[in-house]
Amino acid sequence: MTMSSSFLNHDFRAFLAINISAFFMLVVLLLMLSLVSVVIYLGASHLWEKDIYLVEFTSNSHHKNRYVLISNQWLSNVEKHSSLSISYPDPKRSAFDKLTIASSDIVRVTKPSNVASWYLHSGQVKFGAAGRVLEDGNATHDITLAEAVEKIGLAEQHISDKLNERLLRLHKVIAQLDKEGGVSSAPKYQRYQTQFNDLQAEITRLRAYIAKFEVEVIDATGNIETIKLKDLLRFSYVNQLNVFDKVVVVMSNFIQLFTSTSATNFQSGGFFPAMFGTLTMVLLMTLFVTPLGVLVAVYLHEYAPRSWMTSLIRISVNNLAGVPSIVYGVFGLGFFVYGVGGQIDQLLFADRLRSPTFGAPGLLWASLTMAMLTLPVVIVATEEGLKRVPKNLMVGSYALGATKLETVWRIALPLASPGILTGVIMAIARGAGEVAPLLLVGAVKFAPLLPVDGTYPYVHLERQFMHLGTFIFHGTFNSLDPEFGASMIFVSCMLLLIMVLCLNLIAISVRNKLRARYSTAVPE
Amino acid sequence: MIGVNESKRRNLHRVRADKAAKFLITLGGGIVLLMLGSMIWHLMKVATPLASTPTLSIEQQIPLTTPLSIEFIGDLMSGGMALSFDEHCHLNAYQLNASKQQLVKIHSLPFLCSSKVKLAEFRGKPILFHLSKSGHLRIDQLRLEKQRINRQFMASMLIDNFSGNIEDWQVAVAEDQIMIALEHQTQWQVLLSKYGVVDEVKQLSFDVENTIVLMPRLGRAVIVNQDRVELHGFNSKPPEIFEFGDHVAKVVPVFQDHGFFVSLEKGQLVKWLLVNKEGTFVFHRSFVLERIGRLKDYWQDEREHLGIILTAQGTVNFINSVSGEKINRIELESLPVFSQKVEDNLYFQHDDHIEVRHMGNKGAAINLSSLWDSLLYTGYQEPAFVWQSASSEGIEPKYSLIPLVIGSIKSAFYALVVAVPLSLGAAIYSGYFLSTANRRLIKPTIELLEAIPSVVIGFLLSVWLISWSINAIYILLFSIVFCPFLLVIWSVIQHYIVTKRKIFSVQDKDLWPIVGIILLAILLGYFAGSFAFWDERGGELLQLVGGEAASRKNTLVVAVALGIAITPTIYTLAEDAIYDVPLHYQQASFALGATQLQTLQKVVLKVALPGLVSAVMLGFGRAFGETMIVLMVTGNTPVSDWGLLSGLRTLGANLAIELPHSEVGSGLYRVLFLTALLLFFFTFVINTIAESIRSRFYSRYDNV
Repeated sequence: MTMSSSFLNHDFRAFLAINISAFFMLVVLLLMLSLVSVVIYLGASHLWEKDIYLVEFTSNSHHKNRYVLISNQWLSNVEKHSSLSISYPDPKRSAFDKLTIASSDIVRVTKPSNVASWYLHSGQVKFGAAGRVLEDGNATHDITLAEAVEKIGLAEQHISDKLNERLLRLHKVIAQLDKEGGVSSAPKYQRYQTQFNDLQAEITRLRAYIAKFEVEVIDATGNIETIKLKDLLRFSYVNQLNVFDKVVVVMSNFIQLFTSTSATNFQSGGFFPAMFGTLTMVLLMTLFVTPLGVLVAVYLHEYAPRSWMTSLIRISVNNLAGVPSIVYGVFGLGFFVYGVGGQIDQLLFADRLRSPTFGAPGLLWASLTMAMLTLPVVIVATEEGLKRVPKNLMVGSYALGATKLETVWRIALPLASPGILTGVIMAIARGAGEVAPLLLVGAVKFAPLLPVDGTYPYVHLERQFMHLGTFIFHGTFNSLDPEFGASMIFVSCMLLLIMVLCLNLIAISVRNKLRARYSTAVPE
Repeated sequence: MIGVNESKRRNLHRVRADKAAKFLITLGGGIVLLMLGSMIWHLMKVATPLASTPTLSIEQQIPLTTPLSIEFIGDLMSGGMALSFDEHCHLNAYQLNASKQQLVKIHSLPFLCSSKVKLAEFRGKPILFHLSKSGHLRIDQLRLEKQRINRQFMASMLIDNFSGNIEDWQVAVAEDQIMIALEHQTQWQVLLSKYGVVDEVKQLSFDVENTIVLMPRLGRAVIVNQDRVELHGFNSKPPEIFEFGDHVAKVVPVFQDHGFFVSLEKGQLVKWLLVNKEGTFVFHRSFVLERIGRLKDYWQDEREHLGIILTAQGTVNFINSVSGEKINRIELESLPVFSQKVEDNLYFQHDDHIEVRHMGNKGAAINLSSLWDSLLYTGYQEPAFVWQSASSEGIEPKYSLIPLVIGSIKSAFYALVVAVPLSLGAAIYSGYFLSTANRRLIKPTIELLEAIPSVVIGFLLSVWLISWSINAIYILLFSIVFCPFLLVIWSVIQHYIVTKRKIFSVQDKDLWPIVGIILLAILLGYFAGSFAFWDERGGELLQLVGGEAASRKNTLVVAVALGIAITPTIYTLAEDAIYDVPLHYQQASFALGATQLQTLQKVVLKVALPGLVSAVMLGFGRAFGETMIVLMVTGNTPVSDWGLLSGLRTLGANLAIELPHSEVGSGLYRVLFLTALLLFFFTFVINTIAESIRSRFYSRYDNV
């Protein structure tokens, strides 16, 4: 009897142990999944167009109407909440204001279909119904809003595509003539000059034409505000859209964010420069880290003798992987930027430069630092790839008279290429996600110029650049409005996460394929 | 024949290529060592000057052809001027010539011979006091413009009842007020005047027997009377009196009057410092320097902890200006007649030449006590560990590393508290209980957590902080409370079923009830929270628990965020350790009749223990060096406090904050590199120990 009861007791403890460890595993698993889904949800909800409501309420015994956004939570259970928190665009800044209204003060909440949200180039948003279209300050009935917007779009495109280009060409020709000492009274010169003036006049005329159009936006209380159509980025009648329309809008919003340049306030503009900077930096880093990592891995696996030196190298690789990333940043700043960069400046541009060129944080130093940081990743993955190259293939190669180099080059490396690829992809993922060292060696909050552009020498390794990670970091301190996702940081977070996760998934699947190929196909 | 030659040549070529490749690849292998080596070398190179001493090298010797009584020296070496009065009632300005060998007179400014003139220095600029016979005082700042002295008017005032008959006078300038002391036949008359407020002249009178020193910023006159020092203010309060057992030789106010040095006849030097005593600022004895000699002049570098003492014996002593430790001393050939500090140069005027000496490696004044001791700083109540790199006038920078080290250890430790149960629990289940097929799915998924950029985790947590309401915390707390109960209940039910059916084996489908339990716990937490404590306004828990003082971005949040970040690190390594325990160990245990739990406890965990320990150590190392999460989630306040609700700043975050703004080669720059070195070595040691434990664990059963 006692035997069995103690046995039961033990059994119970076994269940408890199993359940507790299972519980912890599932918590970690759920944590992982929920983290990913929350980031994606937040990012997507920023792109999602939210319905605009008309709230009528009393405040200080005044009746007030306002077009606002309200949370879904409130809508789903109106009775339960004693207050309603609303948010609406600030009339002056490019931000949202918030207000909490007691339920007793709410007169009515409706969802008018004629209200639209108006997005301006400055990042400001306005809610209101469309009024008349104005031309030169007078109402016009000849033209609808959509037509006016289209006309303006065409005119702007005409200016930027055709006229500016021709203007530039003419300018060059005239400058060339000036250089050659052309007389300004010569007929050829004058002809160009006239053309130039005509073009400029044409552009001025078109600009004036564009500036003529305005639209009235009527807010909830009936106040009319006129917006110049040239300031208008886009507008949409949110409440008239169904789910599918909204998906389309989400896509176009996303593309727009993706392609437009950044603004300093994290409210308007897109993250093209950040995306571009990240990719350029990672690409450069890959160029540095791949050959080096493969070289070290080949040495360690194929060439290294069994000596204390080799084990020292192995210990070094292990430790390099464990060094905090910020220390790499410190080293990069001290050694690359101030040390090497400062030397280059002194040698090449001594006395000619006002501000340091290479002696300041920039793209080259950032990618070198990140290459150091990711080197252990590539080494370890490549070595694993090399380990899985079947011995008998190597031996066969030697038996046929191949040298070591030929064996490594023709047999080992091609067979280990999935391992190398895994390493490089994981290095890219790490490089894209690591931010701390970049804060020191080159990524900035706002960079006016891209590291690659049309001016000679096209790739500017010394320039500072923007990076998605640092963009998020700086954005975190600049604007936070999580409830309505008013900040584009959420989108960049989503993008960064998706990018890094996809890279990792690819790396994992490549690795698994590699394992599957050699664990079953080749007998030892 | 030709073909053989051809193939011979080709073979030779191949062998050569092979040899070259071997050489190159071996060289490439050395790159890792080179990298690690250059990293240590560079960090050390920047940090080690801290351990040496400041230097005082002779930069230039400027001969003086005629004897001059120089009253002011500006930045001569880079085009500044020196000023001296001559007996023909002229103020002469001198500059160095182009070769920097000769002092050349460039301009002289006449003044009335009946007036008295005096030069004072304020922030490196000469201030001219001109007192006419009728008692009219005019104060000008002198500037060098186009090789001429330009007088820029600052203030003027009329001294009432001025007899025009004074023996001597003293002047002193502060930010917004001036002090002058006039020596009449029997007594000193001290005046304090604010700029722009002409009529507000306050007066004090003292016996002429006493020496007088002016502290213009505080508005105090220091009277030295034998072995007493008295501080007289212009209000009705009684003077502060300091008694010394020895004759007071000299009193020198320092650091914008935030303190003063008292030099005693027998060579002692005492520093007094303005400290905060329950809201009022009083002078407090800071340190005593023995056997230093009589003080002639004292300067202080405001950005480093460097105090420069010139003694009457003609030696320059470098001291740590906060702790008072002597750092090194340099003998001058003779005692200079006049001396002045301008930026990094010391100018010593002797009878026949001016010696310019350059102070190098000023950061070396920051010594071990600056970094690790609790020190009494200006305006503090008592000695404290403080990190505050920003310095302003009268406020010395504070370089105590203690708050940062505490911050790092604290955040890493609390992160472990969160991460260890989660990751080890998860590792035990997936390494020991989970079927291989599901393990292949679940393990990489959890490992993906490691791939999530820390900046994203930091962002999410800091966003949640903004909207973190009391309701969410209630839900979380209740859920955590419910979980153990639900788990116990479920175990009892399972146990009951098993004893009925007499089958006992762990299957993966048993995981689903646990998922249910987690969801149920959250649901119950939600209901309990909303039933018991639902707060309509969604107020904040922090104010309830910690009061106003509690920081919103506190250690608790860091612990959660960092814990999440290091969980996958620990999990992966621990899981590998458990999974890699050889199967025959387990089979032997089962064969001997041990149950699954017994095998886990007595065999698997025991064998895997070194692996688990090294996993936790590596997790600690990662948390210790993590930068972004801490940077974004905390308020980065460097406090020496182990509390859960207080803020913190870690070594890594500190680097990210301070390094971009620090001047290359300055003391701060070197201190920051020292912290980077600390981080490096700390993680190096932890990693090496963890790796050696791990490799021993793997080699142990390789031999079985």
